[in-house]
Amino acid sequence: MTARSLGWSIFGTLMVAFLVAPLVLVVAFSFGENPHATLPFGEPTLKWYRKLFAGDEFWNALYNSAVITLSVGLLSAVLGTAAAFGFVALGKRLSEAGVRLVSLPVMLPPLVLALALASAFSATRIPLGFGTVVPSHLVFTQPFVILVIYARLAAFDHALFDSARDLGASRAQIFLTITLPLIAPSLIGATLLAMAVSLDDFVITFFTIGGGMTFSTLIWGMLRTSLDPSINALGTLVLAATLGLSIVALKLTNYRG
Amino acid sequence: MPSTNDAPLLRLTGVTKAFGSQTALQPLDLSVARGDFLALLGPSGCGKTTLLRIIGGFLSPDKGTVEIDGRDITAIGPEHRPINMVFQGYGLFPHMTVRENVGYGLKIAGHARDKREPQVNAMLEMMHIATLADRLPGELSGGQQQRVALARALVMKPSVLLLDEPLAALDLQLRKSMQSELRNLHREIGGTFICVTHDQSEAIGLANRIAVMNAGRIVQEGTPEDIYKRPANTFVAGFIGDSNILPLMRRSGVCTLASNSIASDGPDAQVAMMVRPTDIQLSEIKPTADICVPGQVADIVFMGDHVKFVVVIETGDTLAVHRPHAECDTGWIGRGVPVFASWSRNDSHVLDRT
Ligand SMILES: Nc1ncnc2c1ncn2[C@@H]1O[C@H](COP(=O)(O)OP(=O)(O)O)[C@@H](O)[C@H]1O
Ligand SMILES: [Mg+2]
Repeated sequence: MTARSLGWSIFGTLMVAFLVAPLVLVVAFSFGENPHATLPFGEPTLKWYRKLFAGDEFWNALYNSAVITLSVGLLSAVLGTAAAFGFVALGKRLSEAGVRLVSLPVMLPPLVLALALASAFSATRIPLGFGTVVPSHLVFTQPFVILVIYARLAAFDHALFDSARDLGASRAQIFLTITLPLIAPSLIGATLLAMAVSLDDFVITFFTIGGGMTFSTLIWGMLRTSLDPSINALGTLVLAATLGLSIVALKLTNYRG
Repeated sequence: MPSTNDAPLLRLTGVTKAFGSQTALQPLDLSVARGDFLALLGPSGCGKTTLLRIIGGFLSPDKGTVEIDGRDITAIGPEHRPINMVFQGYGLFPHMTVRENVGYGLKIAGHARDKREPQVNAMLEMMHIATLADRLPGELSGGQQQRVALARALVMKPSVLLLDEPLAALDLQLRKSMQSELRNLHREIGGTFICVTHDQSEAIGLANRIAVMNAGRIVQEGTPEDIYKRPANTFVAGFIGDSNILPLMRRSGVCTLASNSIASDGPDAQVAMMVRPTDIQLSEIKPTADICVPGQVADIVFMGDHVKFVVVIETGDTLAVHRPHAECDTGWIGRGVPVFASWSRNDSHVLDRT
């Protein structure tokens, strides 16, 4: 190994350590006896998890997060796929403009998007709750599904569909026997990614949920009242869920780089 | 309606198609008899695929009708036509095995597994792909994929099988062997095939009838021999086989080429004389021949099975002449040598210029 590549290796290792260290600490403190989440960790223990599971707050947040994440996943999948089909049918020029347009929310600062959504709901007097959180999440989760499915559909050899039709298949049969099986891995992957992003979101949830707590707003609430490592325990759970979803998602969509 | 044997199986009448302002097909008629292997031959962009897709039902003509067995099918979609197509690029279903691909049409038609398996197996045998039955298309070579595509279409027992540039994606060696295999296949099952190609040697090697297309029209239709020996115009002559095309003027039924006067019926017009390179003789002294033109050998090219002479004749035109090796060895001929190029009137054609 040359000195130069050794230098880069050390730099790379330090960067990774810098990025990962806070996460490692969050996880480590959740399993330590020390009630102030400071060093030393203290004896290994599961008591912060026990404390977390003992309160109603956790179970309410779990319920809310589950409802929101699953609804967002399901709706993103169905609406995103339908939208992708629509864009493909529009032809290349229009569809590329359209896909760019629906991807805009992903690039907006979440705070601006959250404010825009909250003021829209208040202006139209729509009461805040699941009915507002879920559509708000869709605004920034759906683009993942649309982009992935659109790219997949646009890359299809049109002779596939022509062949199926030639062999007697109706539109519905073509969708069920050719299109759906071919987009399924991408679709599941994109949906899981949408769910991971939804589960993770704090800003938009906070502005559009009204009452009620999800995992992310619960962490924020706990930060203000108590600082014991049961926050770390909750953080660790959210981290595990998000990472799990993302890893499976990236595997399925063959995401590279 | 009962079909008699001499009524055409497929008949297109006055079919036209335009894409926006671009005309892809001029009004066009075409009849295909039962058992024919028809090649649609023409340069790229002349409308071959468009015509094939109209026959298959993937495009509807702007005007005109498509009939099969006397039944008008112009308004019927491809899923309901007794016609199957092998697409350019094959369009095999990548998530299905070879067996599932071949069985797809029968499955869609509602045949139970135990009913379709024997047919699928027989077709896999016939196309020599039985050992590949459980592979996915991505694991097959180009030639194997093509066999699967053929099997998948043929298992439907179509009245007409359409093939769009079926051999274009294969390498030369494979193309030659698939060509004779397609021919045999056509003979064996006695079906009606229509094949699109831009390669004249492929058309001649495959089909018993050729329709030559140019700019959205069928310019000549006939047997390969007809078209080779009696091309209808200079486009066909230039497209099928090697040919020399010499521009001439016809005045009062006579064309003049150097000092030859050639009788030719027809109105006064710019015409052309077509003569094949193999039909021209070269000699040192002026021969007695129907048509004889003095010139000079500009180049001699060894071509493997023959020698090609490039001769610039008195009129300034260039002739390609193909002769056996033996003639080259007689010694008198060489680059720059004056020669007489001659041929018989029967071997040459006066054609309309296109
Ligand atoms: N879907 C289409 N939209 C616009 N123009 C087309 C379309 N399909 C074919 N064309 C045009 O019609 C003409 C004939 O095309 P095609 O039938 O594909 O020719 P070939 O198969 O002989 O190469 C071409 O000029 C082509 O550009
Ligand atoms: Mg074509």
